[in-house]
Amino acid sequence: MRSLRGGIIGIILLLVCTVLAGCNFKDIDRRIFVVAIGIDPGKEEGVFKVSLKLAIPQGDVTKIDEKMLILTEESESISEALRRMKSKVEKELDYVHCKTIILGERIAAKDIRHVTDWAVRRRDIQSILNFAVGRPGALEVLQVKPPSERIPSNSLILAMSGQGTESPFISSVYSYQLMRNIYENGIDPILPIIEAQGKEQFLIDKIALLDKSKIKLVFSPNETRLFNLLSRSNLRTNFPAHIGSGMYQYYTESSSSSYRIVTNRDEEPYIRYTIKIRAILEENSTEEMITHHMLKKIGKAGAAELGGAVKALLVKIRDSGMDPLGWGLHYGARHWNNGTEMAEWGRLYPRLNFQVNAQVEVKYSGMIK
Amino acid sequence: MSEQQHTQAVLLEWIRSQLSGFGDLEDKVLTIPAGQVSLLYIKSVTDGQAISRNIIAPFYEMGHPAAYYSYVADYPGSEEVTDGQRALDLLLSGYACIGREGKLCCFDVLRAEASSIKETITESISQGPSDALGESLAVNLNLVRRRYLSSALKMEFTVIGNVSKTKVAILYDESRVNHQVLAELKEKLDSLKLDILQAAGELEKYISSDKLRIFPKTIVTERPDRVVFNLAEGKVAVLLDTTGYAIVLPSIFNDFFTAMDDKIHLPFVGRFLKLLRILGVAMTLWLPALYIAFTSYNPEIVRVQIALLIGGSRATVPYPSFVEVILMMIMMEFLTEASLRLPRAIGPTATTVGGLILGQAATAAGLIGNIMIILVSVVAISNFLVPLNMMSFSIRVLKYFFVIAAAVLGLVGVVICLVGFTLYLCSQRSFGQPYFRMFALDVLGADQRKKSGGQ
Repeated sequence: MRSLRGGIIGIILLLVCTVLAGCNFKDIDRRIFVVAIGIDPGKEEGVFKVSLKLAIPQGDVTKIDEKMLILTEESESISEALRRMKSKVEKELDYVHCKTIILGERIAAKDIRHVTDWAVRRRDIQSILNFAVGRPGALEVLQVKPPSERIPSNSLILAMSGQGTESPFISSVYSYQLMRNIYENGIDPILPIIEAQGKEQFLIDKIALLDKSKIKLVFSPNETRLFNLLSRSNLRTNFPAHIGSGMYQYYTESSSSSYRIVTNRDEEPYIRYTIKIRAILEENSTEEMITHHMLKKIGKAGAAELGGAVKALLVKIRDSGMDPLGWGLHYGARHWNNGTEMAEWGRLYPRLNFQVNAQVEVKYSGMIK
Repeated sequence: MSEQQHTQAVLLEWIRSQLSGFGDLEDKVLTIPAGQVSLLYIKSVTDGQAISRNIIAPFYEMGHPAAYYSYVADYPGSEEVTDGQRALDLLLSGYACIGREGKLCCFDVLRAEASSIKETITESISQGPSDALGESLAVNLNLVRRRYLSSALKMEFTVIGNVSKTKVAILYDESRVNHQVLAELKEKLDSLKLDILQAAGELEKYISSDKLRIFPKTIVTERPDRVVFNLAEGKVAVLLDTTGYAIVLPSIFNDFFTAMDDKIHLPFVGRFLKLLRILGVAMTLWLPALYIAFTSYNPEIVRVQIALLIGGSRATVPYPSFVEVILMMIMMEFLTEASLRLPRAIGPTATTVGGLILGQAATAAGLIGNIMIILVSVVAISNFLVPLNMMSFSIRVLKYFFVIAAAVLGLVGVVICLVGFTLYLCSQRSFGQPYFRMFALDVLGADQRKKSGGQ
């Protein structure tokens, strides 16, 4: 009797479970994955042109045959555009594998907050997708299809995540970081710029500085690299050193940077940056023998050159009035007094001076002769 | 005197009537001038040579029935009986009855036909002893005794089965055994009411209280060295006549993942192998379920590259993922079962044909995704990493629970199932011992034992 009752309860529970199943069960072959979203301004004012790059799985995986589809829809709301696009494909659009949102340059020049808010708010779009600015427009970037690519948009994913290329010119920004930097006092957001060059190639080597909502300043590739050197450690790149007419290039094996905001009462406030680099000599334009003494000389020359370049960049950042490296946040955290610290920082910031202490240690000549 | 003779005659008469219809019953009266004895035995269970050498020849050589009778009665293993039923039982179990002047004596002339000691089949190891327990209790006891030369090793015998009268030996090391466990076991064995007991697994079924259990609570092993190893750990071994397996109890979850050559290997190799086994179990349990969860509920968990790969391989499959998984797994079970039952000569044919169909044709026809084939083979192989068959079968069944949970609730279902089974395992007891005790506690226990030994 008892076992019978138990059996009935078990069956009822199972039946209840099948009811639960209905809404969510969808096989992977009934879904179509959106791998990138591009957002451009539409033809009319205040309208978004939303483009989706869809990855179509291939039956035969041994063949290299990339299939992708780009859908475009204009609407004044992004959600509305996406809903409309549902009727353009036979499978369910699935955003869980969306890894990149590209903002058209014209959107980025106006206001990015609407799009960022949507991307962070939406439940099935991850907060760790990469935001970038597309040049000339987001759609053009989405249409790029490098010949080396097997999975749609994989090249963008690999480049932006650092899993593939480790270019010193690329810096990636996750959507949660972007959101945080927009609403945080004392730090300003940056966005990498992706330029479409034809249909088969793109170029990511610039950073745009934003003043919370729109692009204010664009760094050149060299400035981008220096910015990356300051914002992250162990940047793999090369820097030049000139001695007389000779040009040397050293490869940074490891790098680190740190700074201190010094606010003494009797002198002007300044930031002291310390950059430490361990390097290997990579290129030598002279026929000179590289000795230990020579390596030291190269290191010194390189440090002086690097220090000058970094200082110029820091001054440029200060003069733009933006704070992509988060100095203000740093200052506020250390001078917290329940109210006025950020206002003080606002007064302080334009007067800031910079001292750059670059230390380059070239350890190895690159060859044994 | 005459009354006694009378009772003996009645007793023999009663036995004869009980055994009427036994074609192989031998009923003789041996006579010499000084007197006579009656001899009664069943030919098929007795050893004819032993009878002629130990029973018939001495009678004629001695020439004195009284002296002969005391020789018979004093012979090791003999038993004087006054009870007809007892005499009948002994006759059936290979004794010869010798009656003289009102007394009846049963003489052990059992002929046990059993295969000689074979190599282990189900629990093979790469290094170490390879003798397996045989079908004769005497041989098995010999195998165990030879490896455990301690006076603390005690044996108790009992008989189970109204018809089969299976001899059961309970072995334990008196100095180490947990007496509670022993008492519980004896109580259970005493309360058993069955007609036929033929296999160790059967006994295992009868002595465990939980009717719906999924995990085996006692080890059924064919390795004498495992029996000895467990005896030394303070466990109880139950050996059955006519079966090549012994039961070891109480057994915990971890015991089922211990192979006997773990101790032989270098420490790191042994640990690695054990880790491999646990990993194998995890794979065989979860892979099919995770496949369903990833393809039908949570494709965001795997990388986009893999998601597209799975999507591509499933592009031609016409039904939902859980149908695909269950179909393939059932096919695989068919194959496993078939290759077990088929005669040796046809076995390879079945596996080849089955493997070919499962591996190649199903994908070529677009019925099954390529990735599914890989998955099924991983599941099939890793299932057999478990050294003890009982547990391996449990896990084979258990994975379907995970598959159903995944089909109903996706990844959440897998997690719920995992938590549920962990709770279930934790709640289990094997003869009062916590079943899910893990390795760390084993080490603790060893420390405690050392300490108490030192005191």
